Amino acid sequence: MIRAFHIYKYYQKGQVALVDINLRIEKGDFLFITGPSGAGKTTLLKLIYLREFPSSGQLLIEDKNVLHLKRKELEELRRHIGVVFQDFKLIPYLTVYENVALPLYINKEPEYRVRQRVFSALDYVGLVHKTSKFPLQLSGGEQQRIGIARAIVRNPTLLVADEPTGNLDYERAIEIMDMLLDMNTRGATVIVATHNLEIIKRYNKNTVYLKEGRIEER
Amino acid sequence: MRISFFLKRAVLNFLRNKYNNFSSIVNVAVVSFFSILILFVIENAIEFVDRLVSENSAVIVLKDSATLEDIKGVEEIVSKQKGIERYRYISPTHAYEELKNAFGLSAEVADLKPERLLPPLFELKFSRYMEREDFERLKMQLSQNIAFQEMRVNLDLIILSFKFKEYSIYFKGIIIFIVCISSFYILSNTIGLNLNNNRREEIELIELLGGDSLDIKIPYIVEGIIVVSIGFLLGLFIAFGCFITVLPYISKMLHFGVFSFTPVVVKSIDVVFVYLVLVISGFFGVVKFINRFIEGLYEEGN
Ligand SMILES: Nc1ncnc2c1ncn2[C@@H]1O[C@H](COP(=O)(O)OP(=O)(O)OP(=O)(O)O)[C@@H](O)[C@H]1O
Ligand SMILES: [Mg+2]
Repeated sequence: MIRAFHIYKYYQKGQVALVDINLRIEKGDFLFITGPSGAGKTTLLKLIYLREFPSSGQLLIEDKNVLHLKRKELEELRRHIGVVFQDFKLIPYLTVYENVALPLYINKEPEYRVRQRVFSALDYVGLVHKTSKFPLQLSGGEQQRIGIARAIVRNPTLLVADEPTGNLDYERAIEIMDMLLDMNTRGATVIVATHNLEIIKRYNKNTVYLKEGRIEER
Repeated sequence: MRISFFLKRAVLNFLRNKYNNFSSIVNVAVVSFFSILILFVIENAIEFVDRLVSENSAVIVLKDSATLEDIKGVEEIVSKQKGIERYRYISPTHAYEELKNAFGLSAEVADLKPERLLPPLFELKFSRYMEREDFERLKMQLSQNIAFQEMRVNLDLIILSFKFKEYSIYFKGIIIFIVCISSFYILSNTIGLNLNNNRREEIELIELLGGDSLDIKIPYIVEGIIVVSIGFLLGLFIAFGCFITVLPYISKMLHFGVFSFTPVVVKSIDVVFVYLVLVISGFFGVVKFINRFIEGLYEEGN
């Protein structure tokens, strides 16, 4: 599913974010990425969900080298990836329904499919009754669940979540994690970045520890 | 529906940025207004000179020695010529009769033969659609005819009208150029100003969801078209308001006994053309800006 060989990532002004990352993630895996703030968790996820590209090294996603993708292939690959963002990234002037429908519109799905998928995704996160609300009328936890609904609405083969439990209380966090785990049992490869060690302990899954951009062996 | 979703995003974005968009609308309106005004001036200048030309008649003077055959030949040339509205042949006898009637000349007294007094003539009235080539061809063909002596015509006026028509194309070209440039920059600036953080995130999000370039651009393009259309209609509205109030005065000013001139309103095809140029160059302005923006999305990190 994902192979990383000696990946380095530098931001502008020589800011080093990732150093010599080697990774092998198989289809159907569930993986935690953790580490202190600034360790490079988000950067690693951004490389995986194709928001950033490696400065050097090779990254293969679904057997495709991300540095050699044509525009069309890049779009196609991104459509297989569901992303839950640290800051939700909901469009404020669109309703909950429209926010969740956005990936389906991008896939050019027919209207009846859009309806069906949006309702089942919202049902899954337990927010069907909020379809016509606007994001800012929802609580942080609810916004996060809308973000999850949008990430899963296309049945992605790869689901990436950046701090999905960021500022939620433990119980809410568990609810969200259970959903991600459930998606994993349904076949999606799931990668979750979090610095919540309690959660990592509870789920007891493969974990990558990052520190100052490097993977630490434990 | 996907399309209505695009439109909704465009309209909502338009409304959300109504202050920026309003100033762009005013800019587009000003550009449209002046373009239409200049078109109006050009159109009427041409019309005016054409009217002067067509009011003016030309006279072809043939040699005294012209035979009936020669006259037929000249008539043939004249009748086949484009750009001549009507013509008539004035024979010496006919001219003599007219003179006689007008001045009470008596042939008996002067014992003059009409042929001695007056050469055979053709009187031409040019149509306003005469082109320079038509005129040159007429001159050339006439000069090849042995009976041809000279053509009396207000050449300055005719040349002036040709010049005007030729230059009017350049003037229109300049207008179109100005319209292009302004629309391009007005819209690319509008979109630039409108790309506040929310919309930057929106573009980034659609990129990350695998949206193609249309998914990203259509709402902005539609928004640009809305801005252009409203601005253009506003400019058009004001321009026509001005025409309606000003035209009667111009007509009155140019109304003389023999000659009167009623200004023409700009041709609708020109107006449509200005609109299309606005839309098309605005389109490129938007596309160029968004392309630059998307490129920038990935440059910051490398
Ligand atoms: N767009 C950027 N431009 C420049 N430097 C960046 C950028 N994004 C991240 N960095 C730097 O890269 C390093 C890793 O950042 P990253 O966001 O990946 O950390 P993180 O592990 O996700 O931290 P957090 O737990 O706080 O979210 C940091 O030193 C950060 O300052
Ligand atoms: Mg982070």
